[in-house]
Amino acid sequence: MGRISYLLREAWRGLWHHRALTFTAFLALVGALLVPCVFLVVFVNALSAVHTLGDRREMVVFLRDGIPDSTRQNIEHRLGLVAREIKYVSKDQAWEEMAQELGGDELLRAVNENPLPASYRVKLQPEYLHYSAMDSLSQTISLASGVEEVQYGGQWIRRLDEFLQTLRTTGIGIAAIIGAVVLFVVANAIRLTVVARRDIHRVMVLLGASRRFVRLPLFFEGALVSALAAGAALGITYLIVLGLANRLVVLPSFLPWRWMLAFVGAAAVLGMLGSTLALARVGREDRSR
Amino acid sequence: MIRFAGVSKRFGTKEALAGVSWEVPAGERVVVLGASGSGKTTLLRLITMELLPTAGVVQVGDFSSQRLSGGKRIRLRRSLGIVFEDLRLIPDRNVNDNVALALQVRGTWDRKTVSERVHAALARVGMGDRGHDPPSAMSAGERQRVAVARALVASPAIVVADEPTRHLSSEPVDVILDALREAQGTVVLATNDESVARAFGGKVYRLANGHLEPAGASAATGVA
Repeated sequence: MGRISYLLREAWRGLWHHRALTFTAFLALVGALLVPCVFLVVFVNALSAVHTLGDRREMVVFLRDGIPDSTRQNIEHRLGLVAREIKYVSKDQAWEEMAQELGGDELLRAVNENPLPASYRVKLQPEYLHYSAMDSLSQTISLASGVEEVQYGGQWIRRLDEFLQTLRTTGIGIAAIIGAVVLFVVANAIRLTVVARRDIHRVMVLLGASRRFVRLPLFFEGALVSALAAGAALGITYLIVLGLANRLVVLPSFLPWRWMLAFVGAAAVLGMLGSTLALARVGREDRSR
Repeated sequence: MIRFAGVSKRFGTKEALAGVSWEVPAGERVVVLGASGSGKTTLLRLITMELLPTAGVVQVGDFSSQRLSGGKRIRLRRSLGIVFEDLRLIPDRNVNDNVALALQVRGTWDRKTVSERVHAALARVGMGDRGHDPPSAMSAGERQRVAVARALVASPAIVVADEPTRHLSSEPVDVILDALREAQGTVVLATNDESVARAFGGKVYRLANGHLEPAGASAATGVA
């Protein structure tokens, strides 16, 4: 029997030997992991929505009338350094667009001359798509020669950034709380396993087993039960999303594969940490006897 | 080589061993004969260093009870094959896995090697066809034979067998004694059965009142 298959068999043996305890721990973990799982789905959808909105974020740089071409080219060059897309809208194009939006040119006929400025509509590179960068850029650009004004929808961009930040902070908070819950559940389940199998571990030690030989399967046990619970939580969340899909206008998207793997991986790591805590505690109890 | 130098072991007010000095050269077969409660198990547990002496020094091969780190204790145990009085088979493993454990703790993982050695050890005690059975499906005598197979499977330098025939009822004692006799290293067998001591052969020591002496000798203290 190879070493890895031995470890997995031992871990499975431990879980099966205490299947009632394992099942209780598994259910508790699924319940706990459902919370971050649902949150992640909400977060992914919010992030996707925000990115969609972010794609529409535009900075409009209005130009003074009558500036020479060289000044305009200088502005365009500077904008090119931070933009992924630049569109020049001349005074005439701006006039036409406005006429179309107003549904006729009667009102415009009342004005003697075209009062609209030429402008650049700038879609920024992703790293500039947040409030502080856009604010800083708008201040710098507005000082450039030939620039009349810069508009970028500062308030709603700030709110959007704040919303994302709140989501991230909430996510970290939830992760911390659920992490502690997972550690607690796994640590107690593994501790009971260790106590129940103490005699068996003693025999192994007498036969010459190292501490690592005895303990490694217990780490696998913690990791295995946590990873299985994470998989189950993902499955349940997927069913919830499917159920909601029939009732919502916008179809929510589920987690990408990489996120799911990371979620299961993180749960497995937490399970191993829980096992570490359990073994440390049992070790302290043994020494104090 | 096993050497006891003025070894005493006390449990509360009871002195299980009293200043025992004793030496077993490498490769020798010895029997420790004594009544129940005479301290045979204590003596064997001092050899395995599951217990440490209250006074004196136990030396087993390169390992001394005076300088026994965790790593040395593990290496010592890997040089031993132990038949426990209470057998200590692992109940949720089948016979093959119980015997294989003695190889795996020593780092032997090759599936074919493990399988061959386990089968050979079980066959040696007449249990070659019971590898897939759990210990719970066996008689006490059969479990005893599995425990002996586990002790011998890794060809240890020293075999320590505590009452290895105790659980045999109808089964022949010879199977186990032959297997132990064929072990290549030192063998220390503890028993309260004089017929087993005679049948096993080798040097016989008698343990009584905390003192160990060659069978037939009248010395009150240990033997060097």
